[in-house]
Amino acid sequence: MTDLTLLFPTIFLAVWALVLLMYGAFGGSARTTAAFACFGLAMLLVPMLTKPAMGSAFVLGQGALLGFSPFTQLAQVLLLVLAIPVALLAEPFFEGRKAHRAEIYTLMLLSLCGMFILTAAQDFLPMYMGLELMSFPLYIMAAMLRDRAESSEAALKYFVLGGLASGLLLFGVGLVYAATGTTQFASLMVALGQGGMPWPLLSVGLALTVLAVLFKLSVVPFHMWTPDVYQGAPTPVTAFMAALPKLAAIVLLVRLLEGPLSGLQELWQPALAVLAAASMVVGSVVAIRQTDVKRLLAWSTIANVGFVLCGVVAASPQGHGGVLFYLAVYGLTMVGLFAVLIELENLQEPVTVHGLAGLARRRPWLATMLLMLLFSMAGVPPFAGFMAKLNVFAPLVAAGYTWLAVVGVMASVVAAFYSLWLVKTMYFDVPSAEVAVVAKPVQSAQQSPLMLVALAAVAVVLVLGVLPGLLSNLTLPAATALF
Amino acid sequence: MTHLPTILILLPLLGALAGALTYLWPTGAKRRSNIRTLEHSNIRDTIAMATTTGSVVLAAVLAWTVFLSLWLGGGAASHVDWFTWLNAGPWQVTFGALTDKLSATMYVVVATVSACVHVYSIGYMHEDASRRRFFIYLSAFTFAMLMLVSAPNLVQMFLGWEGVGVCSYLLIGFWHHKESANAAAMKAFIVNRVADAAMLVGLFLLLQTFGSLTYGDIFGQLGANTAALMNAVTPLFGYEVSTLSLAALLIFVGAMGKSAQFGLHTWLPDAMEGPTPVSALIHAATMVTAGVFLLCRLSPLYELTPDVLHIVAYVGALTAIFAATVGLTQTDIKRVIAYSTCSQLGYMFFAIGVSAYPAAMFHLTTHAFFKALLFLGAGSVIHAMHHEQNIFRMGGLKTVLPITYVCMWLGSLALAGIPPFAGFFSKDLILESAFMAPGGWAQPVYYVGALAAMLTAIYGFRIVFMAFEGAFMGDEKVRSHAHESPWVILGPMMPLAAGAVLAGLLLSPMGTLEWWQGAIVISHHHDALHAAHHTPAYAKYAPLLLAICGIAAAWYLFAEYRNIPRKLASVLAIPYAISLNKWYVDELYDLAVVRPTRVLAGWLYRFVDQEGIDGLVNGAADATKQAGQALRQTQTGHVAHYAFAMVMALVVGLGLLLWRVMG
Repeated sequence: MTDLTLLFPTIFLAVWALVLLMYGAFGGSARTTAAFACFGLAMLLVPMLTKPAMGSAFVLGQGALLGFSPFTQLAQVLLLVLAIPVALLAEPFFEGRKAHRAEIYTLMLLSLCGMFILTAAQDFLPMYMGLELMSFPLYIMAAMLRDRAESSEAALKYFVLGGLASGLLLFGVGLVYAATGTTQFASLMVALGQGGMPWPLLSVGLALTVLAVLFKLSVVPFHMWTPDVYQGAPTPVTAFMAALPKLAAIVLLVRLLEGPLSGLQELWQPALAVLAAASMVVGSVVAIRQTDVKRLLAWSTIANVGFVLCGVVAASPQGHGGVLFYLAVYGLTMVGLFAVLIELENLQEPVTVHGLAGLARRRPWLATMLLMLLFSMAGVPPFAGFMAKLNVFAPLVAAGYTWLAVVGVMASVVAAFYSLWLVKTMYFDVPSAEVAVVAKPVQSAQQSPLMLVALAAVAVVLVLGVLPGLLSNLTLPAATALF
Repeated sequence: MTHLPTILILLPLLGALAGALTYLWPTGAKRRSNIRTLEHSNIRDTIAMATTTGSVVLAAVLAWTVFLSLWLGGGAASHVDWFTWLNAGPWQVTFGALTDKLSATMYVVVATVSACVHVYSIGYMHEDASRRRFFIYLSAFTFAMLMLVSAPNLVQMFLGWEGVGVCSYLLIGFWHHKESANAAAMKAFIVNRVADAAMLVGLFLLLQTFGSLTYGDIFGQLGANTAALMNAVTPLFGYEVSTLSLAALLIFVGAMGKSAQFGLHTWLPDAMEGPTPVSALIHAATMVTAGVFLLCRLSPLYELTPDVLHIVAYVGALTAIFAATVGLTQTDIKRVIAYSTCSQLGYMFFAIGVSAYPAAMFHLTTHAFFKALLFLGAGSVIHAMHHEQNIFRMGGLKTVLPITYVCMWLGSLALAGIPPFAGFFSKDLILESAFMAPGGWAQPVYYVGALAAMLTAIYGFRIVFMAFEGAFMGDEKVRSHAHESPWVILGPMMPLAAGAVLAGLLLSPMGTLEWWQGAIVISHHHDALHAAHHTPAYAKYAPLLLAICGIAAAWYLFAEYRNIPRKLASVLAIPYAISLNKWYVDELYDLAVVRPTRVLAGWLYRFVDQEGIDGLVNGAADATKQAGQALRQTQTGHVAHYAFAMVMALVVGLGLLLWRVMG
């Protein structure tokens, strides 16, 4: 009999999502639903922090369907911690567009539930289920602004390409089953652990399953949906997509590669290294030609995923710890950046690179926060972004992939260019005449929680930059216990 | 009790931050008018001055508490870890506060002088519109300096080292509307960069050799495997150089920059462009002594590299005599004192050179008091004379500025080394140690030092007599407006005056090795300090006699018969020109370094940079941009294209995979 305490967080999320759905359906306002959603997420943190449950659920034969380890545990805590500020972003955005619906919170929670399953998956079937449960709400959320063409377009593109990836994943799982007669990671590990090259049938199947994860991570060359979707989706949804699914997908990837595929390291390590290099280079290089800030951040996400993959390529506990550290810092930075962007959108500031000109003079506070977050993004030392990059590049060099670290550092030079370019525009450029007219006058009181989220992000980025041990003392031990 | 040092280090930072927060105070400019109302800015200035001054005064009280409990209360040295900043495998950087006699002495010096200077500045800067910024910089400087001296490792020390450098830059250029102030600030920064580059290489060498930059680890290894470390060599230009000596020498070069030793001293006189309180705090009492402090802190290292110590001694002696000769002919009151600082720092370095670290630290402490007093006194004169700094346009001020006059006398007596004033004890100890250094190799240094002591007395009293005695030589209008400074300026000079009189007597145990309780290590092979007790009487009293002669000569030349110096200058035209033009060091640098660099830079700019590198860089940047543009073109927006790209990539990838697996 499975110990249900293991599954408590996952079940809680699903149940809470349904409760919110019912509440919204029977007349609860979107605003109170938001409060309930955040309350539920915060409450869930308590048992997860005080009584972390480890072990296997649904044991079948050699393995289990789900496995909870310190690594998944920490990843899930980080997901929750990131989900709360993202949920806070939705209200000020959708209220301003008269599209604030209670369902968005149900969808967020369901997607989060899918991520919890995904991070714990120890079998291809729960992995598929988790992936779909994570993705479906994302498609719907991207289309939340139904009357805006680009929102629907983004959702549809995401859905079609996501469907393609899912199809390939299922095909891959089918091939693996045909080759080995199992879908369990544990049995697969035994089958692959006998040495020698795997069957072609099996290797193609495995490659297809990994591909589905790489698609979710928007690794080059499976990245092309990212800019279109990020730009078209409502901004809080973009923040959600940028911060959370990446973390869940990378945890799955690490557990897949270090678990069943650990015997094939000589095959996947160079391949991932090439993909990481491609992501870093393409992401940073294309970002410098963008004019829309959301689109720029989408390309930057692609580059950042490349940096994260560096930690995966390192294939050591230090590397995996660095991956978690990087994604936590990156996710929080993204959430902070999007919070500032929503505030700018609400103030009817143009959210293009040139529209930011002179922002420092018009809105010094917002500009300062953007500045700090962008500096962190660029990896300037007192901020956490520097430590994050250090934590993935150092293990990479230790693993002998110096060339990839060199490519990474060069790509981050290019990435620093667009971060600093934005800073330069905000602080030194003179705004064009129409911008100055369009923008709303300065508001003294900030009634929205946006500033709170952005400030919290800035504070954490600063603190973790000076005291990285606060987080790395958690990620490193967790990374030594993947299963 | 264990956290007292931490609190006292952080207090100035908190004061500076609180002061900086006043900039967030709504200015009212947007609401009412574009002109900032004076009333508003006054309130904010007052808050900033109160927080910065208050915190530093409190820090000074705590510093004395820590110091006295270590000295008289029998407390032991303590070490508090704050946090680990970097944890790169075997190498860790942990920030913290190391409080032993050495750092506690520096706490007292830094915090006391800083507190006096803060209070003094309230009066001195009261007409300045941006005095708030001034106070914030001062407190930030104090914090950086305390970080420097309390650091348990060389990384934190270097952070403080650069922090004081930045604050010094900001404060020298505080009046940034003055072209000369900007130039001086940049000069200070650049000269220090040259020195710091050498120092960084030294630190890297230490890190490579010891695998750690924590003092405890380095000293532990130095004690454990002395022989192996002393035999370690580093290849350099085809020669093999002792690693320890090279590292010690490079760090000394860094210290030379910060402490304005000959060759890297050129920034210090120019730094007098900053407001006078800055000169007192940074360019007399604290920052410029950082080099001396660092060498004393690293005494276990320097004790193993006697050849480097000889260099230190010679450089110190050269600086002492050089600066003293230049000080004789300068006309700007602050520049004279600046050269005197240079010269006194030379004394400290040659004390270190003969392994008399306690004597160097003792002189550092007494010097901080009397030199800060001299600067603040000079500031009081300048304040009274409406920013007149030329001593040849002063004279006869003793009736106008009686209190300042007394303070300047006390400071100059201490500087000249007349008993029982502070400078006598420490300077004598240094000279005796030099005379008695084992083997007698440092006796030339002693003679140079004794000669410099006489010159010190001459130029020290030259400014006192020129400014305060005789007839007034400047503009009558200025004189009729001259007045004694208010008590907010004179008040802070009193504790410093007390220090200038009493510090030598009260702190004389500082001159013994035992007092430092292991914070300073001296090898028994070259223990000049103990030998100094047996100095023959003639060597002991000669410097004093010379100093008294110097004062008498100064009286004769600059108070009684003021036309003699002019005749002397025309008779001794060449020595006079050399002294007046500061041995032509600036000109030499201009000729040997600045101009060739500029010519080379112009050539490189035109032919290599514009045509070669710009071509490459712009080409690379353009290529990057074009690559971005090209890749962007693939982003068509059509789902079918995206899916096609995915599938193509998949096909290629699977093809490669199958080739690997099957082949």
